[in-house]
Amino acid sequence: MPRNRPSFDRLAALDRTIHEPARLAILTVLSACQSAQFRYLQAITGLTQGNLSMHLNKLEERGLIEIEKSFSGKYPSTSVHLTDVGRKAVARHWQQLEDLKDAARDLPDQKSA
Amino acid sequence: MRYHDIRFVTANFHQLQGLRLVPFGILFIGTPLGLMPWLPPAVDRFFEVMFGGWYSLTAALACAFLVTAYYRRRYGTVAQHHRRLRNSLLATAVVAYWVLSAHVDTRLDWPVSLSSLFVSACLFLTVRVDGFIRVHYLFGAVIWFILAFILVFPIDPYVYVFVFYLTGGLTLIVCGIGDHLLITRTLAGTKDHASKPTVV
Repeated sequence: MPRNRPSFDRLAALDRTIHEPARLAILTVLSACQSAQFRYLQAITGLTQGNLSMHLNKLEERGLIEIEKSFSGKYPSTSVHLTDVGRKAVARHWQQLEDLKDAARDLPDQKSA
Repeated sequence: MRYHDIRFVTANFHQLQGLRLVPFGILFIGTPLGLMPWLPPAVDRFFEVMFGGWYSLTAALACAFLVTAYYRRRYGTVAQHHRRLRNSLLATAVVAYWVLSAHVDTRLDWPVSLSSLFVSACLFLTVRVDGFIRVHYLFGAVIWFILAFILVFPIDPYVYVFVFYLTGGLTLIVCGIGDHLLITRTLAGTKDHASKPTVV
């Protein structure tokens, strides 16, 4: 199907680090605020502490987020925020998904359906 | 996973903590009970009414504080983006309501309450903020619209005061619980989907 080739190329070009559902949820949450606490990210993604930590570490390694650890009183508090690189990457990713959606609408099978 | 929902809830997380409004809604509904016609006039019970109101307001504030602590403990916190336009609009709406209720409505002596119509319009506009539909605000918009025209009918002033406070209280309770359910459902709905994937 050479006519559909550009769409598949664009699909393959998606950043897998961002596209994984839990990480996309984390980045989407962070793109809607200045920063969020670890507990909020856990509540909204439903991930376990360990799993969320691993996702956050992967995103931090890529330079998409920054993690700040502090204390509020006696209690440790971890807050996470997007870096400029991360903010641009999330916006670009959503744009790529929108483009793919548009491209999928133009597929011959979709038109006949 | 509904990414649009989690974006909306995150961007408006503090405003959606609606259980904070419920104690004030109960306070609103309870207020006219102390002014019922079969009780002695409020002027004769000045200290009773004043201290009753003061204690009720303090209790409502304490409850709202506890509810805020509950949200912080249950869901953590979010540092939201500064939204100057929204804050300016809110402040303008409060001033406009005060001008309409304290100056325009009292001088015009119309059977239609412009201040109630204004509240109804504001609630109606809130139904679809940021492209997200919150149907529960429609309930508030409708009952304030009805309240705006209630003076068309010959109605006892005591009944009007009671209906006014009841409307305010119900609006706070319904909108507050609706917003709270929006948070809990969005988070629960997200949990169902996102707990499956693991690290890739």
